[in-house]
Amino acid sequence: MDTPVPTTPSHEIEPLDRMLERGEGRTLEFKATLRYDLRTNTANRDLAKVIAKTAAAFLNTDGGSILIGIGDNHTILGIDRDLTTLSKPTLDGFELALRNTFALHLGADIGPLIGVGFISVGALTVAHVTCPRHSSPVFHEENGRREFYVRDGNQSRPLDVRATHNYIREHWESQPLIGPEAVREAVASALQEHLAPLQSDALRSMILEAIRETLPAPIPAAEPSGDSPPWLKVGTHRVLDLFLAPLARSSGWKRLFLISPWISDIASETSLTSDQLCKRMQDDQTTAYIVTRPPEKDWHEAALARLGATGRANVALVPDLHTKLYTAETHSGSFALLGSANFTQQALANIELGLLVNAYADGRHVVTQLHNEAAQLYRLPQRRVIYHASFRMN
Amino acid sequence: MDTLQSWFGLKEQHNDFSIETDTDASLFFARHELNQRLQSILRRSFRSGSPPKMVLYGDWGVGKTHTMRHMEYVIANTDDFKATVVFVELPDIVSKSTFQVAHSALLDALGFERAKRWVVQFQARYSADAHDRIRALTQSGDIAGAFDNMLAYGEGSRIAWDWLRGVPLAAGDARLVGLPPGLYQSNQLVKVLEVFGRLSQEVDGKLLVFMLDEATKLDRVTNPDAVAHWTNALKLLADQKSKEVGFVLSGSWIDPNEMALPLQDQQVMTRFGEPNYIQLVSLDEAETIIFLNALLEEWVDTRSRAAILEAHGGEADGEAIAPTSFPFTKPALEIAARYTCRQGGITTPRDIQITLDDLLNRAIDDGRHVVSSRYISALVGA
Repeated sequence: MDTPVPTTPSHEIEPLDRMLERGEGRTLEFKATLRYDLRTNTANRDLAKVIAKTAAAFLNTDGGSILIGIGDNHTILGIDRDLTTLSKPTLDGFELALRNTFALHLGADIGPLIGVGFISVGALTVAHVTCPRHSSPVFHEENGRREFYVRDGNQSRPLDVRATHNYIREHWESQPLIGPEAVREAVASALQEHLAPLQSDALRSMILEAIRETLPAPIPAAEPSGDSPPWLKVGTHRVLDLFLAPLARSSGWKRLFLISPWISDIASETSLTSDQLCKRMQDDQTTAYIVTRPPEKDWHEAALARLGATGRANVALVPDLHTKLYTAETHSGSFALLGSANFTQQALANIELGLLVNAYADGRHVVTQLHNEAAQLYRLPQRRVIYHASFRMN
Repeated sequence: MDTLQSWFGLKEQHNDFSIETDTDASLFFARHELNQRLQSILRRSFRSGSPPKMVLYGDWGVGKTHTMRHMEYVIANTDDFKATVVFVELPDIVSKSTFQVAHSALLDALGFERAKRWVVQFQARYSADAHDRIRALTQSGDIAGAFDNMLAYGEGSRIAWDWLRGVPLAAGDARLVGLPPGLYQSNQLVKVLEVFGRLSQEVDGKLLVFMLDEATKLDRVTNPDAVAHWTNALKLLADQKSKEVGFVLSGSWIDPNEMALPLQDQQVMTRFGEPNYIQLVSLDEAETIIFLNALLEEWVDTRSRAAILEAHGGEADGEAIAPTSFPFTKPALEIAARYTCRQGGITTPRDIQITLDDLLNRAIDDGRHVVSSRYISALVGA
């Protein structure tokens, strides 16, 4: 192996061969490329997100280095293939692309703290990214969704709500945090209101219990009571996307229930538009059951007409409807969203509260019960059906 | 409120025509041949004292989870099949996830209390050489030591359990129980499962069968080291010669060539054995009718059916209705089956249940308690 020559050393660098010998671990990660997909031999911008997540994990743990251009079995591949994907195929262009990725996913204030250097090995060049331990939590953000990563051995691992809270409390003890009691009270109070329309007491209790498990423990916590249920996700930002994003990713939509007092056309750049929703319903021959209030606004009526025109929707009008509940059965799994968000574009901008339940482990029973609730809401006696899904052999 | 249950007289426990994989595990509709084959494998396994090892695969909705749950039910309710089944869905995993993820999920499902009870009784029976017996089985003093620590008072017992689950220990905890920081190697993780299999046999006189559902998630594992870790673990668990634990795995692969990399490994396939790779296939129209007949007969309450027919029998348009076709007339049920199989002449149990809900929801909207061939033909354009 040629002697590594740092081209832009900002501090003393551990020799490349020593890092390769040390192997991946708590403070070192190898990546083959920044965004050149070795399987398809094309540019794949999603690969860069993984590097941003790794950087976030290092920043949130004890710092560390990422070497880009190192393949399986520690083979030096170099970054030449990455350079071919850049409009400016130089080391400057590479660093720019890397820093843009960090700014986009970690924040403009974080990027400058990350060091980027290059190590020459013969004709090849390896990028060396150094991440210091950061003084406050760094979140990875993508499409409005924020995730918290830490380094766990040789992996970068996302933490759930409870674990994130506990980790932040332990890792940055001096950092002031929002009081968990205040969070619990606010969420519990909001949930009580939004669960009220549910018909089943047992289901209400089950969901409230589940949400209590997910929320951070009161301080002082006597003992951690275990991980939050993996089938539950709570959101307050772009809540409707909690449902639409997995729906967009799912294949084979079989049945949807959309229960919402107000329904408008939607255009979420991060999940689905109304056009895409209607097209998927037709392509997948989905049966949709839609329950909403009698429309008083043109936009509400237009949205229902568009859904009705697919020939895949049963639309029932129920005066005084207050429930917001969405369920989906797909080939990729079943899930349900319950909360405050109407099925409207405005709900994507509002501060809402939503609880996404996946049909996994104990969540399977909750989804089944929510599905039954939705089916009962479709059959409310005061309803008026204005569109029916068509049944056709072909 | 007019619900499917009240309108068509479904039994109290059924809101619609969904078959719940756990509460309805006793039922197994239509697939007589598959059922016979599974029963035969189970009989052969238990007769020879070798717990079953197999892979169930097939398309979405074809009934893999239900089949596993039904096998669990059959094992629990057949005197000749003495076994404890531990059923778990594979948790979400990432490209670098190793077999440890499944291992810890399986032990979580087994449960600390049951595991501890087994260890306590095993130690009571073999107090002099319990440690040596486990050491001989696992070839590991550390694993035997961890089982010793399961009997410790206070934190030590839980720490040892965590270690056996493959969870890395904090340095202080590891010192407290005298164990290395973690249990990482796939063969050691499998050895731990095998010890529990041995304890189950010794203490309860039952074989231990692990069932791992939703293994399609294994497709996400692409890191070569992680793939190798899974492959080695599956190789050991699939080995028909190993009699300590049974292992049944299911995933939504249509073709064996599409299976996750560890399951395509030649050694894994050889050890499971080709006859134990069982494909669940879609139902054709004739099987769909059999499935519908069984489902409708099981789901509808007999007295309610009689009352509905007395009040609304005229909606049958003079066509015959059987207990196995209600609320459809016999000819209408055939059209419903044809409609269910409209794509390629086949369908899945999940699609049958959804289609039945959709058709009968529409019948309620149209005010019909009985579905005749004239009504359904107009509805589906037959």
